[in-house]
Amino acid sequence: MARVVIDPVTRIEGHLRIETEVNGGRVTDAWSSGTMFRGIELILRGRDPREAWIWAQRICGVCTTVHALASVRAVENALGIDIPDNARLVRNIIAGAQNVQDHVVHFYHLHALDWVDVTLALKADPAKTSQLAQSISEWPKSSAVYFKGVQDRVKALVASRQLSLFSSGDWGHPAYQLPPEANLLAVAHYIEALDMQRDFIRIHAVLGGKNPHLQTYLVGGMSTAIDGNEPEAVINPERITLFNELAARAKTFVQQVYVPDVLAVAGFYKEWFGYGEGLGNFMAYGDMPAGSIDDPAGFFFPRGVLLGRDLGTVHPVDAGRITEYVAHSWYDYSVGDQASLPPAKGETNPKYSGPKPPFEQLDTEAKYSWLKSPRYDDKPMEVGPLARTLIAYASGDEQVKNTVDGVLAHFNAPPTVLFSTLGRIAARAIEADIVVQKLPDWIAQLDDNMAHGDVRIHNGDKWDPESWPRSCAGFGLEEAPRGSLGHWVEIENKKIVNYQAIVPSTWNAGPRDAQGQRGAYEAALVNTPIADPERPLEVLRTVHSFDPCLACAVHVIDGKGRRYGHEAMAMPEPEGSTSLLPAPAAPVFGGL
Amino acid sequence: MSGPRIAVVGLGNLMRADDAVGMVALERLRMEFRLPQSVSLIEGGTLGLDLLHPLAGVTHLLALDAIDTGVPPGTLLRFAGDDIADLPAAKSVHLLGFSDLIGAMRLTGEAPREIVVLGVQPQKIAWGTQLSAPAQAALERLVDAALRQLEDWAEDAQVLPQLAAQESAWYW
Repeated sequence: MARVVIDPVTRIEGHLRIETEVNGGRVTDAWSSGTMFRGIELILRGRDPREAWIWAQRICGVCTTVHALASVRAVENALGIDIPDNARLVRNIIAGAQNVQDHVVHFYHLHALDWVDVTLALKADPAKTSQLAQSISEWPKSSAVYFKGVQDRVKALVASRQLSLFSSGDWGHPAYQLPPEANLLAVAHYIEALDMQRDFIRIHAVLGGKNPHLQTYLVGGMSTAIDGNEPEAVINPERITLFNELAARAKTFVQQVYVPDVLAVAGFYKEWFGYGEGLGNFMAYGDMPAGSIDDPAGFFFPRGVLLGRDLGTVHPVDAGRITEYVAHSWYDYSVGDQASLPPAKGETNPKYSGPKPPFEQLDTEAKYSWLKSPRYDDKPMEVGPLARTLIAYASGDEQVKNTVDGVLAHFNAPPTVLFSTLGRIAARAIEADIVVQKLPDWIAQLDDNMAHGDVRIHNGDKWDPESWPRSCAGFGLEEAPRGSLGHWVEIENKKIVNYQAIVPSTWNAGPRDAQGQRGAYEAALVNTPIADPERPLEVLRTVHSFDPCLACAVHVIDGKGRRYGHEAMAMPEPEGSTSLLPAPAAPVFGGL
Repeated sequence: MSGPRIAVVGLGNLMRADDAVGMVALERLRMEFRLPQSVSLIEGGTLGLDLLHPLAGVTHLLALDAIDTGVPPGTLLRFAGDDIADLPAAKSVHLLGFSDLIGAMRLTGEAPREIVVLGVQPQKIAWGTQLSAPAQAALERLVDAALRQLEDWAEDAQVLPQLAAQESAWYW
């Protein structure tokens, strides 16, 4: 038996450590540990709830903006504020753009290199690559000359010794199965996606004033001026045209590049429809309201819970059934560490009891993560694009059902193959396709409101704290690209007295709970085949399929050296640190 | 299409002591000198690939950063041309660092014609908002070296010291 440790898991934001037990070429058990602490909840105490979103969105720089939205929703819920229709639309457009951009970046820049061997792309025949490209898509950048040019640029990069972006791949690993031409095609689209994502996210720069970390949220709506007759207004007819152009270009890219690539790559890795299943429980709070945030029936992303792989019954979501355990997390609860607490009464009392870094192995019988273990009705849940897609599918959403059935028909496979590593990747592409088609609707509604003289975008009725009750509490739920996100706020005497966030990666990457139930990553890794314990590429495939974002789940560094594919039991001495980060004896807390 | 576009990008985390030296130097350039219009000053912070957009179309890129090459703290370092390949790889707490950004720009065919990285060997990059004494001492030399580089690139650079009173606006 070998203990295979990956720390840090790279191509993510933040620090994640995965320990797996490997027997006979398969993972037999796994532990997921967030190795950074997030202190934003503590920083928010005592602050004006109207400014909470500015701080909260600094939880992460990748899924920027999602925490701003969850935060204003939480405060609006606590104070009983309805937002104007234009604010709803602008928020949907921002969130929809974030969803599409994040999914594209995830597939090409954070995940593709687990499936695509860049070194093999250099051996491809550009003419055959052109044939392959034209057989799967109408996308015009598909000539042999074009692929030759891409190949030359990658060769030049390799020759300059600056492998940079491509330096973390396991090149030559036996688990890479794409022919050279498919590798070159994917590398070409990796580069095109760099351009696409930066062009498309200009929607955020316009509607948010800047990107990342948009500046235009307000409790009660948005601060983006809207005026059809005012060239200086953020939203005017000229800007509507720009949004439509950006959305149209993104739609073409998603439909002609992203989706065909996912189908093509998946075709070479069909066995991965059989690995990485995990919990079989899925949850989505739902999002993208058609009207009030309190009317989930009008959500574009439906709300629901699926249990035990059963697509036949969509259970309702009752936010009151969400709790968090710290039995295996480096926190103290005043009610005892075996109990769970609802986030509305959540506590953030950090107490590190893990080994002093650098260390070989965590004591996974005890506490081993900075993430708590969120549970719904005491059950672990997977959240994210797969959960949303399955819940929409099981809810009978026509568009999702047709798209999913089309993908399943392509592979001649039943819906159960979606409970897998490839299922997560496919669901993300399906979702991007559906959202990018929805964006023009929201843009058109905004345009229509403007044309009819409805330019109201902020409800200031309860802006004055004198109008607030002496004490109140609320929560804001959202579907961020990576999954269900919730913020809980308690307000007393016009100040925040408690703030809690449960982010998607806490649901997915959290440790075991007091009953020993595994979190989603931990469950998904069991049974993963491992060809070479020194280079556990297969573990990365499943972990990356969740789109981990650990800066979100935890924050503040306790630095350790890079140990990648390290067999802890066989090699007692850790490798030297390649990181500039310090290795403190105890974790440090920023901003306190 | 148009003439040369020069950009100075400051890199580093303002909360990690000497890691911020490039950001501090950038702020010095902004507050104390009047640079020609053709030079843009960009706070790169820890943004990584998000800098692709502001740097698109830049022909001359000067990056200011903390660089750990194991030399005595406060040592001024300069990388240009092929030497840039010798920069330490992704040292940022974020995965994608400056070398990845340059790699991405090369792949998209938009790399600046000239890239110069000026850096200071940090003494400490633990949590903190104060530069160490060696990094503080190197700051002047870093700013000087940046100005000399800009003069080389922009012959018309009229680098005029502004009123000393502006130093009171220093936020550090």
